[in-house]
Amino acid sequence: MTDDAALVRLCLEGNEQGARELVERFQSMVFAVCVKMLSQREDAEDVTQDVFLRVFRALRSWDPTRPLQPWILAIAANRCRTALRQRPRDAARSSVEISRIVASGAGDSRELSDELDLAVAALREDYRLCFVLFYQQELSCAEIASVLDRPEGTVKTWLHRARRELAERLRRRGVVNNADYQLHGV
Amino acid sequence: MPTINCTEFSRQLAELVERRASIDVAQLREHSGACPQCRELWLDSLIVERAVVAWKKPAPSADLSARILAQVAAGVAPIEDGAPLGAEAAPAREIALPERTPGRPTRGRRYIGTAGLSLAALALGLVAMLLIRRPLPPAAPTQPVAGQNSVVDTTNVASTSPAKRVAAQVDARAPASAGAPVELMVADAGSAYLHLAGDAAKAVTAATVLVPSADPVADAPAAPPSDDHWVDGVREEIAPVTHQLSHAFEFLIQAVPEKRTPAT
Repeated sequence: MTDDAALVRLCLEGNEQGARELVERFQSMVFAVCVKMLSQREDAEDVTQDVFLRVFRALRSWDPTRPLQPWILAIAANRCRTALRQRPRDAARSSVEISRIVASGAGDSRELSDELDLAVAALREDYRLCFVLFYQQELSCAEIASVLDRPEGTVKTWLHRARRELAERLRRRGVVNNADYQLHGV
Repeated sequence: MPTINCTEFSRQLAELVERRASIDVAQLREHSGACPQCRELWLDSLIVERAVVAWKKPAPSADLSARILAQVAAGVAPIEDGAPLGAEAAPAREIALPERTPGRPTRGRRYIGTAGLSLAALALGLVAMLLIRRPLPPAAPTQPVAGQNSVVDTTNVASTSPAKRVAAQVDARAPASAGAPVELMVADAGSAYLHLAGDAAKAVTAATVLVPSADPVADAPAAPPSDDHWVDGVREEIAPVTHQLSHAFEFLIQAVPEKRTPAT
């Protein structure tokens, strides 16, 4: 029996320690995805709680022969998309605009990470989810395809477009220049 | 002189980025120096890779796990009861559940709704027409007094148009009890019409069930059918009802006599 399966079995038996371990093992991952998708900590924490509630309710439907992480990530991705749809249009727009104003006011002094956050927030929902899962959760394209229930080729296309849009935005913002970078430390 | 072409460059770059493979980038760098289009791709990749290295991973609040466990305990009763956590009915496949957003109905439903409203309005109009056309019940159901009608009618007819005068005279000659079969006929027609209206409502409801709806979750939903298609579909669905209604109309028109001037 795999580690994931043993943990899930504990949870299904009503073991409180098992439930605690499951939450602590995956909460950082779920929360990180939620924050990058929703761009707000409060919303991300609410959605994270909702994700785990659904995880526990649906544990019996999990296939023990498959890894637990992509399954939980799939639930998280769905909840994020639902939260984005339920978010009032005006609120979302004003949030993005405020972010842009803050970003433009801070100018070049903003850290690269914050600039990347802003650029990612401006991406299309599919591209954003793809990018976050690939670069932050370090999932492979095949795993992302499984999480999003999309063909691997589609995932690669979305990833490619996300990279191009992000690079273009970072270049426009003057955060980076076309100096010669080293890729993967090579 | 570049050692690889653009196709090979794209393949190797995809290997490097998508598969996180460790490959020799010297050829990529060399080719990107000679090809402006590939250079763009190369720089995009380098920019993103550098930014990602600096990308911060957000940390959750210290009490988030406690809050999650508290909510899970409250939301999933078996934790407290000692029963299995997943005892309550779980969705068969959590990740594939389509979520419908309330709001604007689909195009087909809008058409069906419009057709239903039109039919309802038509029914109301016809019922109102029947009620208006129904003659007032006679004041005294007894036999008419000979001569009384002619006196009253002569007075009444004198102030009306010639056509109405003739109609009034015809009515006046007829006994009061002669209106009863016409009333019965009209009442029957009204009852039949009400049944038809009920059938029409049922047909519209059944047609609504047949209409497919779009999936709001799908990234690339199927192209919505054109207006003509939906109009044709609705038209086909309500064709029998329309046919029945037209028959009912003809029946009513033939059955109901011209409005008579009430005798005073």
